Amino acid sequence: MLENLLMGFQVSLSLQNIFFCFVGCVLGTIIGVLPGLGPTATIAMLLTLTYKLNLTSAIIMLSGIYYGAQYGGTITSVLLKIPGEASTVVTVIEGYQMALKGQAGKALGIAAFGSFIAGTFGTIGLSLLAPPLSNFALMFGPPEYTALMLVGLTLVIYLGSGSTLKAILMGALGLSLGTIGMDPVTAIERFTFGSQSLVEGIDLAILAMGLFGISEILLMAESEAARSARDVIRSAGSLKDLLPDRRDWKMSLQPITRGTVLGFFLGIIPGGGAVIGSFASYALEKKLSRNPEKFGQGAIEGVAGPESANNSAVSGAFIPLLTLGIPANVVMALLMGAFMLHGITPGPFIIKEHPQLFWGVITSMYIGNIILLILNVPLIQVFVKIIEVPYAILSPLIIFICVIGAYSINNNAVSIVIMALFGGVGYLMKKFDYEPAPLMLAFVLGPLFEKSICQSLIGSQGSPLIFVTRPISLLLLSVALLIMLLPLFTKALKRLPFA
Amino acid sequence: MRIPILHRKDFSSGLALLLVGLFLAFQSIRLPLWGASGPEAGFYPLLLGVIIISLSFFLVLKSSILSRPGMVEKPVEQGMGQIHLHKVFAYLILVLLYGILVEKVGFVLTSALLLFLILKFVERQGWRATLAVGVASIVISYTLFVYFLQVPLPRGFLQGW
Repeated sequence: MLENLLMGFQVSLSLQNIFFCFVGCVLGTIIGVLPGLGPTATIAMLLTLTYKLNLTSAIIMLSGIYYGAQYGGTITSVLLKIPGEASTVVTVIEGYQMALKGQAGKALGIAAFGSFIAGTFGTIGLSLLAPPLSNFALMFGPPEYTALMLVGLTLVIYLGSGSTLKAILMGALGLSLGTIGMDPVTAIERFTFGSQSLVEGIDLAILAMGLFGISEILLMAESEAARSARDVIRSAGSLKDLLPDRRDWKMSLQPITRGTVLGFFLGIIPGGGAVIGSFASYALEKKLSRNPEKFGQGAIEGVAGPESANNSAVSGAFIPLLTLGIPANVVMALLMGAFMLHGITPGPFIIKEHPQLFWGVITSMYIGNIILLILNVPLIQVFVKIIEVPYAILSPLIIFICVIGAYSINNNAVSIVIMALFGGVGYLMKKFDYEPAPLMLAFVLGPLFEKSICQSLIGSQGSPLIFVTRPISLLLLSVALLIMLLPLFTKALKRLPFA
Repeated sequence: MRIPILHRKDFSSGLALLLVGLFLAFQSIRLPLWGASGPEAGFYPLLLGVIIISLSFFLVLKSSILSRPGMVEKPVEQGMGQIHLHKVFAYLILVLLYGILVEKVGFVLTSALLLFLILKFVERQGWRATLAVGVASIVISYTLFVYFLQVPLPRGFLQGW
């Protein structure tokens, strides 16, 4: 394996490939920062570049865009409360609260380092475990996906700091919003009310920008006191104070480790794996913490764990693509397209037939992680200055970025209207003590959840027993039940006389 | 009987969600629910509608009839200062108007209007700040999106020029 890695580094450390990796990372970070225009659209636009470049360089650059965008999404999540990607929604919960306390630099710093560590171990995991783990991914059919999505959905209980009933209600609402558009099995239009714009459903970025970004602006507009409190926040003077200190590292090391492992294995599962990784890591850290009440107020563990999970999930997501030819998400599907444009079908033989390509791409991921760290850590000082812009100027700018972002998704102005409406909804949710995070998670998982349930029931001719007769599905359902019952169990234990 | 403030919010939001659930359920029933091969378009949203109805009904009950007597009222937040609801509405309406007008009027003009109205009248900034921020934002965003990222922005009635 060492010779393979050495060969990989020989490929990825060529001047040309380092250059493309760098370009990819920079472009990816910029794209990630701009809400709306995600890595998917950018990679799609740049796919034709693969004709002009050699395939290895092209894949290296496109991959750089992908994980650069992850980090760019973190920047806006922490500083502006706008999640760039589904996987950075969780970072908004704690990262933004840390920013409001003047700790934006620490949040960004721990996210950068955590991502680097997770990415490094993820790359190692990928190179060691790719062949056996790819068989694991193959065992997942519709019933297993249903059970996995259910596990993911039970995590909503842990996402809010308020009422569990309200969190579950928001989860159900998120699942409902996911039904807008075409039914995944019969392609009948649902809840579109004749609007062509809703046929594809509501875009995640629009929902996120509205529920988090726009609603935050409305909340700040409403209260002069909240604004003044925010304007008083000044970032620390030197880079040393901006970055995480020993205490922060002590609190973050275990979450980073757990997040890396969790994210990696969940990222292997095509579909919702990577997104679940960040939510699962958050729920886990909250459960294991000695002070769970600090979650929601700016707990660094709530940034360290999920950010690491995100990044290792990217490595995990490459496994089904490179070994089985199964793309784990849309970005992987596009990369697969790039491979096929050059007559290479990603699959079990790619390691044998194109070792330089395979190992070159894997080692470039490691280099990409280093480049991102070198790029972003010094830039934290610059990014954090954004917080110091007076809110009276920053609000209109955020609104402006959001409306362009919303428009750029589908070149459709209706997206702006939908975003504004969800901004109002997010504002009302906050006033009535409802959390948006459970809604977001359910919205992301909903379509795959419904598709899997329907496919399972069609396959079993309507019998729900299929979910309990298949071993992996049964195991996952038991995990879901455990997660659901755990809070009740803990409460009951506390009431016992000897507790 | 006075309902404590914590419960009033839950009561009214519970009612609103109950209506949402009912709407979802009624719309779902109008779709095909079950076919020869299994669940169809209306099955899953109907299930969700029923769940939302049940949970929100429970929330309404929990916040009123089932609430324990002598519940401590949530104290009014101190130091909130003035609440500027008109600013909230102004932002919302301006963004909605932007969405409605941008394709007809074009990106540059609509954005200029949006930024001008927000900076000058909602945020009460001076002319210099308004012009500086407005012009810079439009120039930078236009360059970034149209030239650099090749994302077409609407030209409105300037289409074809």
